[in-house]
Amino acid sequence: MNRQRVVVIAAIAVAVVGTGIWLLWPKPTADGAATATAGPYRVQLTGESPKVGISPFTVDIAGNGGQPPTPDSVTFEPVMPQMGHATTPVVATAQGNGRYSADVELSMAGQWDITVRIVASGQVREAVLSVTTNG
Amino acid sequence: MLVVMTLVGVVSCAATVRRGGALFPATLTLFSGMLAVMTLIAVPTAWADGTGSDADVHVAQSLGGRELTVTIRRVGPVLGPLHVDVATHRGDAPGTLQLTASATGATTSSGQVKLGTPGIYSAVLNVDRAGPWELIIDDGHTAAKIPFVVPAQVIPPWKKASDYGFFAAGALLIVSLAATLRARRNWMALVPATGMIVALTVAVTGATLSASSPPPPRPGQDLDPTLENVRDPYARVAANSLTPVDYSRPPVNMAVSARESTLHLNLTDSATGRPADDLLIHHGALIHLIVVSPAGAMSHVHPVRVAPGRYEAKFDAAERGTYAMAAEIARRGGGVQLLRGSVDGRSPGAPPIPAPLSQGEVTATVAPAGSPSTFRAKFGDTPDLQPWLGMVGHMMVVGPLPDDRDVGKHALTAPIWSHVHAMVPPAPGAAGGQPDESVARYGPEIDFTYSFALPGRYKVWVQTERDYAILTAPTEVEVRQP
Repeated sequence: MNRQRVVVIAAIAVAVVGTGIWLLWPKPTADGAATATAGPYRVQLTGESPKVGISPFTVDIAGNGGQPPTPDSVTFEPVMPQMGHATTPVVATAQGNGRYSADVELSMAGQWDITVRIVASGQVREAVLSVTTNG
Repeated sequence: MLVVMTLVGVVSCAATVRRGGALFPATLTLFSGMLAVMTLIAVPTAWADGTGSDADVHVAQSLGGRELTVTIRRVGPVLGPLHVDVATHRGDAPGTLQLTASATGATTSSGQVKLGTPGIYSAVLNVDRAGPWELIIDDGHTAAKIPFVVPAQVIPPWKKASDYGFFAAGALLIVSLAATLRARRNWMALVPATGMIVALTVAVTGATLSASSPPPPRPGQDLDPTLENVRDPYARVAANSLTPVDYSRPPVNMAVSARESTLHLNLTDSATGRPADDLLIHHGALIHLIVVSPAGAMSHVHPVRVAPGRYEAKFDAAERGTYAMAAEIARRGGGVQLLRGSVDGRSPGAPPIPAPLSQGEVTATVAPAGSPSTFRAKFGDTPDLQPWLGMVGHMMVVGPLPDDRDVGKHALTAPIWSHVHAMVPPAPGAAGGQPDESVARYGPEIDFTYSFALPGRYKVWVQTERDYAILTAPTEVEVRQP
């Protein structure tokens, strides 16, 4: 009786622990950061999504499989498509290693499309990064 | 049932505590049974309110003079092969199309279809990640980019609460059992038992909420799809729910131009001036463009997306006069818009080209303006019409028009442009969404009902498909004053 009791309790414990491991097992989290391509460039949002109000917006600009020329200028152009609302474009400052940053004004919570306009060697390329702000 | 289980659990715990474990075998059996039932109830199931759409995506593409129907089969949350069917129609040139499935940061997959006689040609591509994708169809001159979303397997938060709640209840049941058997003080078993009841409450609440909770905004349909919101549509529900029932967007402006046998459409957002790159596939196309030529011939084409907000279709503006056109589009967030435009024929000296012969007969019972009129179009004698753009028939109405030769010019300013549908009749027991063009079992008569808003003379065209040929039957009607 005693051994049977131990076996039953052990079996239940194993089942419970197994279910727990199955439920709590960390799922593979792939890179979910906003990324877009603009011709030979690959633009990726770095850090946290911007907040409502004026907050820093930083991207990493790299080659999309090649070595494109260094951008002459990078501009962020925020638009909230659902509201049909665009805010003033801001020129980003280079921080080295392809990182560009500027303070953007996102006036309300929701989904914003931020067009990253890259001018290099007289050519204009655009990548649209979609970010969601929380209030 | 869950409430009963909870009560049984409480009573059993209390009984066990009071009697100091005397009823151990019965209690153990009861607890084990409850654990089994809880485990069974908590087994993950498919959830209908996820973003996993198992429907096929049908999209018509007027690519380089071919009228193609591209079907992306069962874009579900299961990654792997992506079956693409390309249906060609009579008059489409044979040749090779290069198909590519592409997404930023994902592995690009390519394939080819070799087109021959009209029919359906298939290719298998591969998608290795959930998120926004583009299917690129290249005929060597133009690359049509069709956006689509590969959904992720999504577990709603209340489902997680239910799962974790049942799990915690099961675990606490064991603990309370052990406490009952081992603890010297009987009240100690009540602590984990209380926890179990709390966990059960969470689980039951989660399971109950799941039936009545609204689904999150759909990436691709309501919101611009991103990796983040496709993978977890619930993550930012609060931010996305400022206007939870209205995701509609501003109107679109359309600029049209014709150059080098190609019609160029430039769609921009009317509120910001940015390219409008969020068109949904509605009624089997991104854009339904109806063109009325100077001589009064109608063409129904589906321009292909070549860049954000930019669409193209092969177009020969050979006649002298005005080509009037109307584009039906649906933006992300819902609502269909009708955009009007025109181009001038590029040969000022060319004579009008007579309208092609009718390929069917249209009989109309025309009621006065404001009342429903009925139309019956008959195409041949055999019931083997195929659905085109998901419908058995399409009827275009333009008017009122004066009795003048330059139909295009007057159509441009005509107040009424309508596109009427004859839907595919329901097939009992059918499953899997709308039938594709391989189903040839409809007609030969197609009925329409339409109310003309204004009196006057109207041009009417009925379109359907047989043997992969688009058939058009034009007619004219005179609508009286009510």
